[in-house]
Amino acid sequence: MEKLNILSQFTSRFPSTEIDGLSSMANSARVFLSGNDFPTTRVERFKYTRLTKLSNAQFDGSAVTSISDFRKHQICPDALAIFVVNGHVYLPEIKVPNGLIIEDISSAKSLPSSSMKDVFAAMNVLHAQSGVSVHVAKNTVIDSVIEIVHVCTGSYAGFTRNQIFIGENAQAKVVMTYVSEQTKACFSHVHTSIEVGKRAHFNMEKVQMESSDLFSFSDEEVWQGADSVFQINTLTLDGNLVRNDLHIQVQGEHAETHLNGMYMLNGQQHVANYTTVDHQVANCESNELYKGIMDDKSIAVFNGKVFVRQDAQKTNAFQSNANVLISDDAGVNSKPELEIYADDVKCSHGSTTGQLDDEALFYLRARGISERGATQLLLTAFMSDVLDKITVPSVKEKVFEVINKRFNWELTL
Amino acid sequence: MIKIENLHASIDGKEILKGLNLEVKAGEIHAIMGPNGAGKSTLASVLAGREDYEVTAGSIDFDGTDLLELSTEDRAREGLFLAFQYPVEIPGVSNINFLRTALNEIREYKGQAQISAKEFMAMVREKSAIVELDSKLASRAVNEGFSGGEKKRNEIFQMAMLEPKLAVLDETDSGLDIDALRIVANGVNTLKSDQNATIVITHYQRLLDYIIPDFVHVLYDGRIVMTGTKELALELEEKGYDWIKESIDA
Amino acid sequence: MAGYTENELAKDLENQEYKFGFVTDIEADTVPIGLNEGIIRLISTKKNEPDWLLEYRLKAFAIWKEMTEPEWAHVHYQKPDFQAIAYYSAPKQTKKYESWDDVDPEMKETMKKLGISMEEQQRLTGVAVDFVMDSVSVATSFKEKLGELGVIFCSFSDAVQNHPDLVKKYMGSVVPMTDNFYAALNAAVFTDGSFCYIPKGVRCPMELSTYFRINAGGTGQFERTLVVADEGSYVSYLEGCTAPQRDENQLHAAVVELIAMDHAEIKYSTVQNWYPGDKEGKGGIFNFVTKRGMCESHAKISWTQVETGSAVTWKYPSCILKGDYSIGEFYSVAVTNNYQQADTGTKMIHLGKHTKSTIISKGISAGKSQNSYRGLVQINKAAHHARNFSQCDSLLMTDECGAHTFPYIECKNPTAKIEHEATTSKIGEDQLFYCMQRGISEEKAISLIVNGYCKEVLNQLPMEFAVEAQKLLAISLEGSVG
Repeated sequence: MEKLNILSQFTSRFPSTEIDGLSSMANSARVFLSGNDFPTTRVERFKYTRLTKLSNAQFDGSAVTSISDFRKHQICPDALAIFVVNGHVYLPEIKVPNGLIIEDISSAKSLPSSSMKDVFAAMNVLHAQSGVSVHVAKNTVIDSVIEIVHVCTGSYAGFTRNQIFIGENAQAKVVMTYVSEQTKACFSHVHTSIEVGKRAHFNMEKVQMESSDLFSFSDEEVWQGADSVFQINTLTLDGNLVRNDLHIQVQGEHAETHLNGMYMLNGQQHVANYTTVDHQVANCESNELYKGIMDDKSIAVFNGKVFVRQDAQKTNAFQSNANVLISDDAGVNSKPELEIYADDVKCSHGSTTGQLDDEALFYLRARGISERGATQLLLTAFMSDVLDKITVPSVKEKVFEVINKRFNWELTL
Repeated sequence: MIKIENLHASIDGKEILKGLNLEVKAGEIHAIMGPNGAGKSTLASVLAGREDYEVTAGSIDFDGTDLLELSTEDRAREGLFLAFQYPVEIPGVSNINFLRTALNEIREYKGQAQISAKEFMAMVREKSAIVELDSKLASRAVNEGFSGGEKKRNEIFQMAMLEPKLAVLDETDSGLDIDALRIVANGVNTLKSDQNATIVITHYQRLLDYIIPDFVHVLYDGRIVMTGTKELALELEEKGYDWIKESIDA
Repeated sequence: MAGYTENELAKDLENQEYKFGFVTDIEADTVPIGLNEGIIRLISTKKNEPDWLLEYRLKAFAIWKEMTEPEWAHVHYQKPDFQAIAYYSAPKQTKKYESWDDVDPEMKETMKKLGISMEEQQRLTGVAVDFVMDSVSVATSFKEKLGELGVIFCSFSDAVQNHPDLVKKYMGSVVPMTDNFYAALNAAVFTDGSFCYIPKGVRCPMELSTYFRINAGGTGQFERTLVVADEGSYVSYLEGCTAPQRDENQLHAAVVELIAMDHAEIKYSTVQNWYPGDKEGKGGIFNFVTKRGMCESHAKISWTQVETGSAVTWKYPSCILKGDYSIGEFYSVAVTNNYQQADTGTKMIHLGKHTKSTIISKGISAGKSQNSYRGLVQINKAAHHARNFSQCDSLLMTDECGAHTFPYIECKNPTAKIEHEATTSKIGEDQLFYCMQRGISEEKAISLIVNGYCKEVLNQLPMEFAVEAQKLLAISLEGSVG
């Protein structure tokens, strides 16, 4: 009884959504919320993430409205940029190419229904204030990068909902930028539905660099059609409690899925990456590579699930998670799961946790490189295969810039 | 020994062998050469009975038996041996255990008694010497962690142990340096008798300097298009396959 | 072509018969069904137990009543009705066996059918065997020889009577009664089991072995095993399990506790072949077992298991690596067929410095079965320089079965080195073709490949057990092929 109070107390602060496209899901969201408590570590999905700090946090809603210029947060100078500031969409006057529609999600005609994987996903359906809808028509190739910049300020708490639709044989690249400014305690939950049509190619760079007093939750739900290619790079560079939930439904044969992630943590950061690749049809391939470096008292969680259904014969699924702990107080929890119901498959996963190789460090130092320099060199080398997956050069530069600033390093590309 | 007539075979609906004829008599060594994609490895696979390949027409008579009616293992038991181009690793199963199982199954098929452990070990010692195979390799898991050359020598060692009537060597020279090639060839020559026969499938002539063939066939586009003696192999080495392609396609 | 298809194999596997499904006709002394304080007092009285043990049982019962039965995501079964089970069933026998000759001929016959010919074993292998039928330990051989070395190997009941201090000191020290639902139930109603104590510095000269058998219908088996290896000692302990074929599900909820003191080593091997139910999934044993070992400094505990039986298995033999430089190992082969469900794995809890653990798990799924590996590697803050290597492989035989891997890796120390690898694959077609090209039948080829696949685990078993395990694998996966 008491726990339900925590949940209703938590949700009571959020106004109801005014996005029409969500109304069809509202009922199931309500049912889900009435049947579940505010998650504790007894809930498998939150086994390693304590949310008491979140449920106790005071969000007075006092968003700082007078931001001088949120455009400075844009990473890619040439991108078609849209801003979501404290849940409100700002669509600058930009000339969009033919076949591309970018609009406020409230104007979008229909929204795909998402799964209720936890109470936050359900709350998003009931309380999302706004968001961006990107629609790429079939056979359209968008050359410019589309950048959606999410900015939180002050003591904002709220839900955002985006949708991205990539039509058949179309191609596009989106950078999702997550930043904050002048924050106290902040809570942000962003849901993004992504439909990747037949033969379509879609690439997403998700760059998270919100400040260390932000509770940042985001989930992407992806549907892939036949012969499509989807790649997402989740780059977590800052934040207090960061939770990424990726759910890929592979629904067309010969689709390719690539999930990469890197997380560089320090201080008291807690970053959790949950991924599910649900292979529903035959002849598909998925690759997953997540790497992390943990300093100070930070804790990383990786939970990657590969699900191969009975019909998904000839699936090739590979998953790898590697972690380096560089402080005595850092920690990591890794759970790479395989759940397989088809027999003609090749699936593997690996997980390693350790320190930098002493021998390698010694070798570099013996060649005259300082210990500090040698450490950075090895850490860059450790991260390099994930960094190489980044397809937008300005994102890569930004990653190095942020890491160097936060860790006081001098890493170079 | 073996008579292949008008053999047509396809994989995934694509026809690879298009009417191949070949006769090999006891005591003979035949070389089959040809450019990449001509169907050389397909022929080896079809002879051994790999299920991915579908025989759509033709016949193969193996010493009076209809080979195509037999399962893979019964072909082996009748005395057909394929030395694989890429020998398969079987983790945890020792070479010795593997061969003893094979040998005993073949004996059982022929109505012979099981081989005693003592007899078997003596045979292993004798036969492994033929290909200078370290006896340690005999007790390791089948092909696991073997070098390329060791795998090929292991194939010939197995051939020596199983004493087949017809051995098909599929690109056995690939991945071998000259010393290993000599050892392998020497093994094949040692095992040769007037009771058995060998088909050597290769892309290069060099192996034939060591295993002297009685006949050399050129396989091109699923058919044997030319037959000659060792000299033909030398000519092919010198001129390449293009002149054959030109003369056939013309 | 007379090739043998996967479907035919699957069909043959379904028809495989359970070879230990006979019922031994021995009169049993069984308490009324149901579970209440009265029953517990009755069991305790029948066993002539001291008061402290009765109190222990009643306390556990009180705790159990407050607990809820656990739910597992990947195990589905009809929950047992705890009031429909008879918690005590002993072969009716008024006097204790003094020698092998005293043993009931029917019972001897049972053992023979199980492949345990006591005389043979005694003469040939020097294995000391304890035999637990239904709930009571009926024979322990080699007592005298072990006695000379100070090794205590007896039934748990005898240990309670003759070595109460040891039992009192160690029972529940590794698996407390509060640990989980079935451990609590066991603590309340356990009837017998085996007890073993190896004194300081003694290397037990023979394998100690216990055979467990559930015979009577409508009963559950709740045995406890306690192995204490004092400083610098060594023991290898074997455990085998069978049960007759019955349409009902029978519950087996055992607790095994191992204590390896400084520099001691315990090797614990299990070949579990409880009745798995028929090919429609009817009947079979629910095998819910808690097994855990405590390692003091430089101690080593090695669990090896070959799991082929039971309708539902829930079992995670674990090691608490408390002492510095202690070592935990887990080697497992789990075969599931028809409607069997296995959820098994291990927990390696690293507390001490330089602790090391190795996990090798091989799952083979056939029929419509579900086979899961669930494991935890936990490196705690003070466990400097801890090492873990895990390998979990799954082999799939049909397209109707499932193979799942759920490893939990928790690391709180930066000096740890943890490696986890897992693969899932179908039995290799290339491998089968290669074998068959050498004249080996598909049936033999599968058996060869499967045994090769499990070799790292089978190699850990003592010789006699390895042979038995291989035979079992053959029965499970090959016997009906033809």
